[in-house]
Amino acid sequence: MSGLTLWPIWVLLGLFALNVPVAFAMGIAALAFFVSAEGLPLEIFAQRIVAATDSFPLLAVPFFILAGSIMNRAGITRRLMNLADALVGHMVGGLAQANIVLATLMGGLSASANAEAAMQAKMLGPEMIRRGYARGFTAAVIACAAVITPIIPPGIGLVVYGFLADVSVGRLFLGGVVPGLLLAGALMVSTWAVSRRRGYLPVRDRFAGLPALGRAFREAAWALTIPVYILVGIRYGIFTPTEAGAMTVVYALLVGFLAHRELRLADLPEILTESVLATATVMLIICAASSFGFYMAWERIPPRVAAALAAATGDPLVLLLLVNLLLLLVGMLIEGTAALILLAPILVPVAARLGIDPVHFGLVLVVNLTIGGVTPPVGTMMYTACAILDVRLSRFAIEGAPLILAMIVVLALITLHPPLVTALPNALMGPG
Amino acid sequence: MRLRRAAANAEEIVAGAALVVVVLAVCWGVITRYVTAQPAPWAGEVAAFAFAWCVFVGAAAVAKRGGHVSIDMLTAAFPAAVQRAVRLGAQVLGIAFCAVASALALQFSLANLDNPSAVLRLPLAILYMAPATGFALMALRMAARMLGGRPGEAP
Repeated sequence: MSGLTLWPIWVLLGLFALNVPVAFAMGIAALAFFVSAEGLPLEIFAQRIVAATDSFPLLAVPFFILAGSIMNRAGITRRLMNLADALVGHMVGGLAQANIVLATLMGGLSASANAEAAMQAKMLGPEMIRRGYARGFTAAVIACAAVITPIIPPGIGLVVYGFLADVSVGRLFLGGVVPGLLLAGALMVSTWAVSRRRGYLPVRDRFAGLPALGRAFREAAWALTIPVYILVGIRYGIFTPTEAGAMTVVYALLVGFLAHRELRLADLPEILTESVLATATVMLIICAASSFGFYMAWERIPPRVAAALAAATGDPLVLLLLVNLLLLLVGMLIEGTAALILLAPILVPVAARLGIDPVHFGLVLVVNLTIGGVTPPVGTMMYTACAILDVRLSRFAIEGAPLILAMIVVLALITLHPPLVTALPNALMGPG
Repeated sequence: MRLRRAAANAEEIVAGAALVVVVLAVCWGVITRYVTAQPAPWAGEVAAFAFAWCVFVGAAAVAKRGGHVSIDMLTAAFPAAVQRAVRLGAQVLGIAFCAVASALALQFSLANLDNPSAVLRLPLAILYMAPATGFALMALRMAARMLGGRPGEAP
């Protein structure tokens, strides 16, 4: 290990601790390394900063963000809500259940958990509180349901992981279907138990009936076809995930303007601004990480960590459990996408060395870090829901515990049983 | 009035327009692939150039709102006076970094004035000017924020 330069990592962690934005902290640490290292031209720094924007797969990030933003204003969300209500409104805790089903349906359209949490908190939160749901529980259900959205394809976390680990985004998308549905099931069971104990009533006495359900289905048909054509299109190689993203944007515009007639030209500036902000936040971190990644590659840190960890344990299962514990801890403190960008380049070589399927590993990572968005003290979906519904974090932590626990059970399931993730992509796209 | 509002929202306008270009370029790529069995070769290049502008100029719009992700776990436990000092230090450091990054990117674009892109033979300087411009705007917006939300603040 002679001559190994580690100080940039300490600089990075120090800057993190002092509340310097993650992207700048990585840029500063990388720049300091470039300046200090002999024979490293500074041009490489400038070049690395731009390099990530030259990635075609990463273009899917702005596309799916943009498509989600359009759909929220195109009347698609409300129609899906009616469908969710017709499906599960008669269950105990009907409104909370409908919330979870809506997040699952939206999962096929929207790619961003934060946007989902904000939208549901504004749309469903006040209504739930009015009907007697505890404020803390309302915020918890909304934030936790939003975890499902980016796992069911499309999802930004999966696109970013695909870029970092050089894995097919199409496979990752297909791999997310079963874990996403499991998360939905687990949250519904947990919500049912809480609602029964507290007497949260159904929306209606009995099932809405097939005619009502059929009507809701027909109205939501435009929206429901989107995930189908994304997955079919990717499966048959009609388009790449990135192209699917661009087509989804166009499709959402057509549905909003022509089919539902709810989208107005005046909405577009706000939609664009919202999407630019969300895209730039994620992408700037990726760009800075790419310059910091040059330092790590230069010092051969990922393979060294991989070798050290592989020497410590040869058992993939032990490694997966360790990684899960580490990530749950990191997810409590660092925003999920930032954590993914930081850790994936180090962890993926380790997983590869122990023969862990990269698609399986990706879903474990992304599910884990998305759950990190609702675990106190730091979590973006938690912040969003709590801010909109005026809930204290301590209250959220207590009321959210059974829901978070249910999701961790699902995380354990997909960790221990890889086929839950890999069976679908392998069946549809051939063994990887 | 109009001009002033346009200046205050300059980043959103430029980055939003760039995003539209990215969508159109990729869609055009898909369409041409089905018409001519070969995607228009320039589509990918235009998308990449526009994406860089969208990201770096958009990052200045994020900076204007103080929206870049940071970790406030540790500093939140400090006494108020220390918190203020740390925040000031972090802001100055962020601004200094953006200024240096902008200068480096500018230098790099000037070095690439004659270096043409693969398909369209456009100077690669157009690409590298995106971070040069974006980091300069980020430094300006963060400085304006630090000095107390004067012009340049979003309405």
